[in-house]
Amino acid sequence: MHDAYFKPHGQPNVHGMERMGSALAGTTLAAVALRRGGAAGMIGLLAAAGLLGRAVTGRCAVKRMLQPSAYEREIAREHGWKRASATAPSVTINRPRDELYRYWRDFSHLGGFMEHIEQVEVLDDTRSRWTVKAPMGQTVQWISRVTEDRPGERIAWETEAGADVPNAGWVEFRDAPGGRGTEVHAMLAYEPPGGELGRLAAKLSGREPGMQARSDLRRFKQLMETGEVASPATWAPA
Amino acid sequence: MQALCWHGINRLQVDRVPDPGLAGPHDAIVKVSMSSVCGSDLHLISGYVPAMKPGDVLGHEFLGEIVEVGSEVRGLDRGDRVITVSILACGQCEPCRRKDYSCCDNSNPKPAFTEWLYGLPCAGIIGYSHAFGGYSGSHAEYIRVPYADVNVFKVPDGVRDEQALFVSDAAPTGYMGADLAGIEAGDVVAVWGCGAVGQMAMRSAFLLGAERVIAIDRFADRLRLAADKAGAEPLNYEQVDVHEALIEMTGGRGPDRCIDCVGMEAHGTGPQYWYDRTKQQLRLHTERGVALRQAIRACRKGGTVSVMGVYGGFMDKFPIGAIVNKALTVRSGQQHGQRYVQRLFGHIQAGELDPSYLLTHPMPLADGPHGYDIFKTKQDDCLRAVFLPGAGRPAESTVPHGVPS
Repeated sequence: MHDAYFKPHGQPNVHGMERMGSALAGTTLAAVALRRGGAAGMIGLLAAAGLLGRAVTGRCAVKRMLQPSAYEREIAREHGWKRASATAPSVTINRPRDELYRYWRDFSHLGGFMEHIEQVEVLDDTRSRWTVKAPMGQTVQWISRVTEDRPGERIAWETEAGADVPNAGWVEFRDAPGGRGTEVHAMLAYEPPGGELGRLAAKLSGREPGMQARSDLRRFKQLMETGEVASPATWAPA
Repeated sequence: MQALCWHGINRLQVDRVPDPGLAGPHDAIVKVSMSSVCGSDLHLISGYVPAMKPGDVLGHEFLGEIVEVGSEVRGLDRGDRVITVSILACGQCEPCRRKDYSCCDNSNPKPAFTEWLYGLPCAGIIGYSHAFGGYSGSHAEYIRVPYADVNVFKVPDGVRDEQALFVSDAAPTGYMGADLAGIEAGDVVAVWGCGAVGQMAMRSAFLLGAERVIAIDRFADRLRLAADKAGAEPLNYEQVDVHEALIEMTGGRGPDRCIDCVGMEAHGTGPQYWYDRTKQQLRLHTERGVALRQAIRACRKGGTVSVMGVYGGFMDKFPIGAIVNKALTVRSGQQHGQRYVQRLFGHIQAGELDPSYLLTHPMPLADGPHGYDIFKTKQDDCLRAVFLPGAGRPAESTVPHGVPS
């Protein structure tokens, strides 16, 4: 999984018409920028250099950053989504595997460390209703179903049909080397609302749920190790 | 309550702010009776550590009395006379269990900045900007301390307030500098910087077995204290070539252990210093490295350089070649004070250490801006200004007061 998750660097990712288009646009922009001069000309020239660079090398770092990874394409295929945005953070927690598993397995606890969760209501042994904060004061809802449950090792879940935002995830608990507790590896993926534009907007704004996942795991660690989530507050939150 | 707040580069002001209360079950609320300035505050005040916000309360080295404890606090009670180690440790994570308290994984609620800058997130520090958690500082009448059982220490009988105060930061930082240096019996130890941390490092070097200690600074009063109180041999870098002097004083060997207690705003002489200073002011690099470069260059072959001065970012002309070819060991860290507090109280009780001479200028909290002013510009032989929030003039908001840059 991890080989697919990490986007390979240095592989050509600009081909055919796109590459030729880059060459043409770069040359044109360079000519216009040179004629115009001044600050705008300088900026234009830099942009032209970028375009020509991707045409000559066949590689584009910006595109690589914004493009779905092979792993995200695989997840979208697996869940029948149009596209997927995925993240796979990990953290080491100085507590035994079973304890961490048990805490996580009661999904009503997730709101205690996942910043954007308003509430998770446990419906039965495998199903739970999630209410999650969305941009502009909105909330979104879905029902999640546990699809895999290996006590002390792994929990996987995905949303049922009709979810406001279809999503899926898993968490694995592995013994850390040298008796250092447990490595917690998680994967969270969702089908971004608003199509490709929505996916790019979320990615660029840094607001996508995936970006929050690492801080959420960190708060899980704080809670499990110290019994509280760290805060600079000078008063108890109301 | 009254608190000394940062309002912009070199602008401090005494404000009225709300009293703190318990925010977590492991918290304690301490009524501050003494709160010291620290050289590291100067980097915040002058804008070299970013992530300060107007209204932030400064201060992290303090003594006081417990007035309230959270439901999970076991070892502390109302009325206890206490000090606090300001590099916050949770006591539970793997680094804390290893006693590398300043590497705590959990105490920084705002890890993004240090993670971006240093590769991994660093511990929270009281009164030390939002990069280190955004915790409110101790130049105030009251302060909230998280994970109190780990970070707050009762002051034993026989240790006076003005001795105990510095066991919260200056003494353990200096002691750690000497401890990390790996001093062996008979060693010659050179200490750059004769501020409070440097003074404590010198005394600690003797406690750990050094035979001679050499103190480097440019202020006559501080060099005199280093000689009189810490028993060091003073070296004024404005009067002698430090490298030449050190090599000569050690029979051509160089000091066995070198301790940098200066940090990123080092002063020096000559073109290299002015090169550093210009680049720093143009924000082309963040550190002025005169002291550290000197330490690395002078250190004996196979010796140790221990860096306790605060550095925040990047330094040009870092002499990696000298480190490799002289087989040097470089050690550093924010203080793991929790390791050393009890040991230091023991040394004080035994009469082997007396940090009280660091306190040169006690004053009411209302005079905070003036205190930083004389501390920064080293007026009136100021080694440490210490604010007494319970004492002196009544609480009133003062006009913004400039601190010279």
